[in-house]
This record gives sequence, C-alpha cells and structure tokens, in this order.
Amino acid sequence: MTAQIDKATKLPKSIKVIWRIKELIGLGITLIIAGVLEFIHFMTSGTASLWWQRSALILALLGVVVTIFTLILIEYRWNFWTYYIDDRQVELHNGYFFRKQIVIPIARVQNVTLKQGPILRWKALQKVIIVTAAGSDVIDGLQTAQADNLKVLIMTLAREAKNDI
Amino acid sequence: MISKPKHQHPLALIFALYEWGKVVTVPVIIVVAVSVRSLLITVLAALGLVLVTLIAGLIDYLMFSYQLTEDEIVIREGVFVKKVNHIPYDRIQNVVANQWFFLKPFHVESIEIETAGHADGPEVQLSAVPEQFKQTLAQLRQAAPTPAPDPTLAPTEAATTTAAEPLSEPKAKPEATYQITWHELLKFAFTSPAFLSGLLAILAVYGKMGNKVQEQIFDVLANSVAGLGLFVLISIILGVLILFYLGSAAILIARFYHFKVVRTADQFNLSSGLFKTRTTTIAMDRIQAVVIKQPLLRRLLKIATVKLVVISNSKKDSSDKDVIVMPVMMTTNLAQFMADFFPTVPAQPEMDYATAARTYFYDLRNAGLIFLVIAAGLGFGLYRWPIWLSLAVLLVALIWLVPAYLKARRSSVFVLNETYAYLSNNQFFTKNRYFVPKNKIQSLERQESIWLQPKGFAHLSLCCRSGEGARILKVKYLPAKAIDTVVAWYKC
Repeated sequence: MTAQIDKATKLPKSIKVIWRIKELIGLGITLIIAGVLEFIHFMTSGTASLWWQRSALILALLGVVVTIFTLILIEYRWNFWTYYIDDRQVELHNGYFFRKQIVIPIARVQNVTLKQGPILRWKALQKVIIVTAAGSDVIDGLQTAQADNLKVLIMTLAREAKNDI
Repeated sequence: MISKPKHQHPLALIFALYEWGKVVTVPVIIVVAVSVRSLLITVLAALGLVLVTLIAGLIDYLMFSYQLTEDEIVIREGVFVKKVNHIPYDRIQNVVANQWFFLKPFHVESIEIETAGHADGPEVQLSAVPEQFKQTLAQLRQAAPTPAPDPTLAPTEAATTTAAEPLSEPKAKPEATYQITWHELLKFAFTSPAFLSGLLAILAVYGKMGNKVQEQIFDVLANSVAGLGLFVLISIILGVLILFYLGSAAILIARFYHFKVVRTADQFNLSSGLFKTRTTTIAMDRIQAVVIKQPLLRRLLKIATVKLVVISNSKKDSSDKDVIVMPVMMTTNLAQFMADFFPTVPAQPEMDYATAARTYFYDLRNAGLIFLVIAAGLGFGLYRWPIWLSLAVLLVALIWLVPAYLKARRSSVFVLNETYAYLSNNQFFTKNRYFVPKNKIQSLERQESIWLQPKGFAHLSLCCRSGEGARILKVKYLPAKAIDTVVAWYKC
C-alpha cells in the first residue's frame, strides 16, 4: 500500500481552503442553533429554562472545540488524501488515524459526475463522483481542467472495458 | 417466432377482477355501513360497485396486450393514459412464472419479468399466458444480439457466453438436477427461524398502533388473563409460540413443496409450491454471488442452505431477496452439490484458517465495552430487583457477546482462484459463506487505523449488487496479510 501512496497524486492545495470554509460554515450553523436555544432561555423562565441555556453552552463549546481540532488536522487530512489511476482501476486513499483504501476497477465504473458549488467555483475546483452499479465514491475537489481530463480518461477506459450490468 | 400484439388468456380476467375487487371493497363496506336504513339503496349501491368492478376489470383486460419482437418485449396498457413498455431481452435479469393450481388445467401461468431497473416491482407482469410463452421468451433471449463479451470476464465465463451464440445447439439440456425429499423438506420447515420474524412482525404492528389502542388491547388481555394461574398463562404463551412455529412451518412446506432445481449450461431453473407453483429462471451470468447460510439451529444439526445473490427489483429486506437454490442439505454433501451446480466455483478448502487470537481480542473488546455500558445502565435502572437485573444482563450478554465471539471465529477472506474469492462472516447467529466472482465486485475498500497497522490487522469490504441496491460483504480485524492478498487479487 505504501508503494502506491508514493505514486499517488494529492488533491490541489486549494482544497484545504474549501475544507476550512466548510468547517467554519458547520461551526456557524452549530452556533446559530446554540443561539436559538439561548433565545428560548431568554423567552422562558423556570428550571427548564436553565437547561436550555446549559445545552446552548455545551453545544457551542463542543462546536468550537471540534472545529479547532478539525482545522488543525486539515493539513494532515490533505497530506493523506490521495488518488491514483492506472488503466485498470481508480484508487482513493484517505485518512491518517483511520486509513481507507478504495479500489474501483474502471470496468465497473458506470458514470462519472462532476459537481461544482459556489465555493468550489470560486477556487476553480470540481468535485468528482465516481459511480458504480453498487454505490459511488467521491474525490472532494480537483482543478477544473484536471477533473475534466480525469472524467474523459475514466470514461474512455470504461468504454474500452465495457461490462454488462 | 415474432408475434403480433396479443391479449392474455381470458383467465387473466380473474386477476384483473381480483385487483379491482380489492379497490372497491372499502367503498362497498362504507356504503353498506352508512345506508343501513334503506335496504334497496344498499343493494343498488353494492350492485353498482360490483358492476364497476366487472367493467373496469374487463376494460383492463381488453386494453392490455403483449408482443414479443426480435429484440424486445412490448407491453401496451391503459385507456386514458396509454402506457407502452419496451424491455430489451438483454436487460432481463430474472423471469419468474407463478402457476396457481386453478391455472394448471388450462396450461396457463403468470409471468413476472425483472430487470435491474428501480421499479416498484417486476417490470412486466403477465397474469395469464400460455405455458409455451416462457419457452418462446427463452429462445428469443438467446437469439437476441448479445453485447460484445466482457473482456474482463473470466475465461470460463467468456467461453459460455460465446458458446451461447450458435442457436442450433440444444441449450436446455439439464446438466444437474436436484429434487427435495419429504424428509429434507420437513427438516427445512422445522429448523427455519422464520417464525421468530413472524412474531417480531406482530410485535411491530402492535408497536405501531396508537397508545389508546395499545392500552385497550393490553387491558383486554390483562383482564382475561387475570383469573388464570401462572401455569395456565405460561401454557398459553407456549401454545401461541407453538402455533406460530407450526404455522410458519406449514407455509414453508407449501412454498417449497416439490422443490426442484435444474442447471443447464447457462441458467438455473427453480420450481416449487403446493397451491402456487413458482418457477424462477436465472441466467448464470446474472448471479452476483453464491452464499451458504447456516442459522444457529441448522449449524447445530449440520445442515446448510445455499442461496444466490441476484439483482432484482424486489423490495424485500437484504437477505430475503436472495434466491434459495438449495433449501437444506447435510454439510457433508455440500461439496458435491457445489461441484454439480457451480462447476466454475472452486471447492472450498477443508478448513478456514484458524482465527488469530487478536481477532478475538478486538471483537470481544468492542462488544465488551458496549456490553459494559448497557449493563451499567441496566444496573442503574434495575438494582432493586436483583433477579430481573441478572436475567437482563444475561440476555444482553447472550445477544452481544456471543455474536461477537462468533464473528471473530467465523470471519475469514481468501482467494480461491483467478476468478473467485471466498468470504465468510457472521450475522447475529448465522454463519454466511460467500463465493464471489471478481467481476461482480463493484468496488473494494480496505480499512486500517494507525493503531491496527503496527499489529498487522485490517478490515475489508467488498461491495456487490443485490436486489435493487448494494450489499457490502465485510470482515473486520483480520491479519493484514490475508487482506492484502485479496486486494492484490482484485487489482490484477
């Protein structure tokens, strides 16, 4: 497995910005929920009201701690998120503490979907979703040209290795 | 061989009327219930609805036609909304024929055709067509231009695909046949854990009822039981259980009555049933995996069930949609059966490799931690009733720790030959042994953690198709060496 990691390609560096933004958006949503809980505390009274405040506090604290951790770990996440393609299969590797290696033979690929939201478009990245007959796997983001090439490559190879469903 | 659009056999009317009958039953009941005052109106309304059923059924029958063309089957139906369904022969996954006993004298049967589409049921449902229909369909399917053979197919499978092309060759020659005996059928029916799921289904229905209804039922039960002694109560519970057990056994006997499986060069034909004879045809190359299943009781009796994992649009739960090819067989005869019916699948090695002590450690540790949490919770809630507490803890231990032990003991994965891999795992108390061809594994996932890696252990998931979705065959905490062999096999 280590041998392949050497050959494997990392995602573009700008994906780290995307991940960070996503984490912050997640934190923002958590804080809004905490704010709503705090508002309920503000509007009500009694012992139950105190619990609303406590849960708001716990939620906000948890959100901040988890986000700080994931933000610190994003460098690692990028370092250990790699993909590798040859004429037989697509391989995705990710994770440091929990390592995952996914092998998808190109002959089993049904279609490739490219997806781009506003944040990805801002960084000129595209999400690549590789779909098989039994599920799909995602490459979080590649540069637009790179993603297009990948799609063409996979689909050309897939046509060569045509399979029956 | 190409036919014009045809109506079904007039007996199809029975099924159409039955379907419409179901639709109008509720209105009929409402009409009868509401207009109790005037007998005349009640009778007229009921008659009107019966008439509606008759006319609607007749129209349904008349507007439905089927046609077999050179490369597809065409179904036309509908009065206001016309529906034309085209199903190319090479997209057909399974063909199922059902013959109710009252259809038999007319040599007519019902046909269901399934594709890999995500429909709510079979793509094509013909309720009454002549028995020859299936034969004709099979011939047309063979004659239909097949897509270019898959270069990734194993040599043996590619050989059968190409061999199928010359039509003149007699293809339907049976190469292996098996017919269930009474003894085996009884063994199958009485060792089935199906009655438990029947009980669970009833409990689930009870759980879904509103609180009010639940209370009422409970009160009625409690009142009628209150006068009885403990002994009588236990006898009643036992009686109900036995009734369920016998009932489910009877259903299984009716379903698998005269079970017969025939393998020809490229397909399986399965047939069984007492009141309704069900014949299933499955092409060899549509089979995603072969699985040998042994629930606890059957494991103790040294008998096993062989099933096929297939693509279908069955809505049933994960393993129920697997097709049974061998209801029950002594494990000693399994090797012979596999050799006869799955000649391309290599014989299973005598012994699975011995489980590493660490595998036991990991599985029992994980289950043990959860067990401790649950036990602590139970202790917190039940500490005043030590007898109930110990019973509850014992029960939780039984359903948590024993499966964990079995999981460690039964998990294994290895390569059998170029085409096939073998994976065994545990599902609650059931042992599953899968034989999976490489080209049916859609993707593979290998997992390890920074803590497992130095010890040389990892997890493996094989992602296959089953029913209308995916089935993930997973083994955890196996030596990384064993798993890497499979990964390397899959990659080349």
